[in-house]
Amino acid sequence: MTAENVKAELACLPSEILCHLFTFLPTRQLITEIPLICQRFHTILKDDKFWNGRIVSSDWKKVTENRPRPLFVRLPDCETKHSEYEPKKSFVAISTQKERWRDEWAESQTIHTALGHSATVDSVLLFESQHRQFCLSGARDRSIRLWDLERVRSGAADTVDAPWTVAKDETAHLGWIWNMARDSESGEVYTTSWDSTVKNWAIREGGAIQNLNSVNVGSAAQCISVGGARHEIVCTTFAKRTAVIDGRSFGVVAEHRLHKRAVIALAVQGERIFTSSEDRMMMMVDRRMMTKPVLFIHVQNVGNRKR
Amino acid sequence: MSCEEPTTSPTPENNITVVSSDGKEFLLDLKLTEQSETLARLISNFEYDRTDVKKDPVPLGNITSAQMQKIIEWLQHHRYYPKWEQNDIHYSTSFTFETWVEEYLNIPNNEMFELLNAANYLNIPRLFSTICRIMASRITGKSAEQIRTVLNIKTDVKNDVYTGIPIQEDSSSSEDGMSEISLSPSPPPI
Repeated sequence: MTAENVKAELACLPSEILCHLFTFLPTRQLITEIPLICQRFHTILKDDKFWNGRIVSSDWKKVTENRPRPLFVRLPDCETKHSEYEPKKSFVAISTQKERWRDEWAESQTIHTALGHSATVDSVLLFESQHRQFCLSGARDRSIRLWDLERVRSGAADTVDAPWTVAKDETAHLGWIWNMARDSESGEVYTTSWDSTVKNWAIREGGAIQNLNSVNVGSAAQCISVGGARHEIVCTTFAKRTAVIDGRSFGVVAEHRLHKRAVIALAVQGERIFTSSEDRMMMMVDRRMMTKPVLFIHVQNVGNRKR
Repeated sequence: MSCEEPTTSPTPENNITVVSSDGKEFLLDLKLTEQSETLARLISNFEYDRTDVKKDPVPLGNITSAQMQKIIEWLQHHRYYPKWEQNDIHYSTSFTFETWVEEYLNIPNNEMFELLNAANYLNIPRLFSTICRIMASRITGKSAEQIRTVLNIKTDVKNDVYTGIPIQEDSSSSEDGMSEISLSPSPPPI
């Protein structure tokens, strides 16, 4: 070994070769171990360029192939131009999800097509009841159907004796069924529809769907959530309204009309009700004081948030 | 390159001559040079694939004759392999290699790094990728300290030229940044 050869170690390689080498290593190790080896590696792996490059190159490689690319990821501008954007975090998130879903796209996975609805299905609800898995679907044909997922998954034919649809209501609503929520404690299901009503359903033993209650919220009902206090259901409507329905009396007990246009998204966590609307506002309202928003954000342009 | 009278040099028609840094000449079959994008491009630019063009020896200033020998061995072995396609190699974290490749790359680390550098210079993607993969296979799953041992890297906490800030061995800044990134074990297969 000559004196020159002794010098040739990993750190002598140009950075671009090191970057390429790093792409073969597990992401986790790249973050936890490699930067500790020496300052140079730390500097390379600290740089957003490396991680941005990996996000882009993993895209590019997918594009050059001919077969379908279910794992294709393209980050929106509002994310990449955001002040808190960190390519490293994004890359970790992307690779974690790719790993999670990788087998999902493998040949061994099958897709079952279950025929039932005659129009667009806008809402599905997956749940488990007595250790069996079910799927409830609500569609624009005004019907709801309850699917026994085990039967669908087993590959058995959809016959009259053992149908995939264990229960259905063809006239559940008079308009498109838009959203559904299930109270896991009582097992009751709530649906919203463009016929302005919110309905409450119980799924009985032996596969009957029974309509318990119905309330008219004044205009097309959009979202529904049971994430709030017990016996309280929150729903939003097309006509700016966010209403709290009492599950026992099934009447509207509280509401706010703070949005200027249709309220199209909803999340409820305890006392806090988060909504977003077509007026480009996102707001958080406290259940105990519905007259005034606690927090609101006006989304002016995509990627340009103003508080 | 001008088209002078038919070449009288002793170079056979389908070969080109490359010269390593220590002045040794190597006769390379044109078929072999197809695997190296650098050489392939050079040959097409100078039209060395034509018989009526005078071929000058190609100087490869940063490749020693020992490395060139090694690379020619690689090119010979992969002579009839299909053209390298950029495929999903990054995602197929397969660290299995042909026996031949394992024996071929059973060389000291420093030689491997030089070979990697040479493969990069000559742009031989199959060789470059294979060396990267074999190095990754030696690094994967090891701690920083183990990797330092494997790759003969001396810790540079004291004589750091970049920031002057020593990296702490155990609780480094990168570990702090980690806490925000969820690195929970990957989910079990569904």
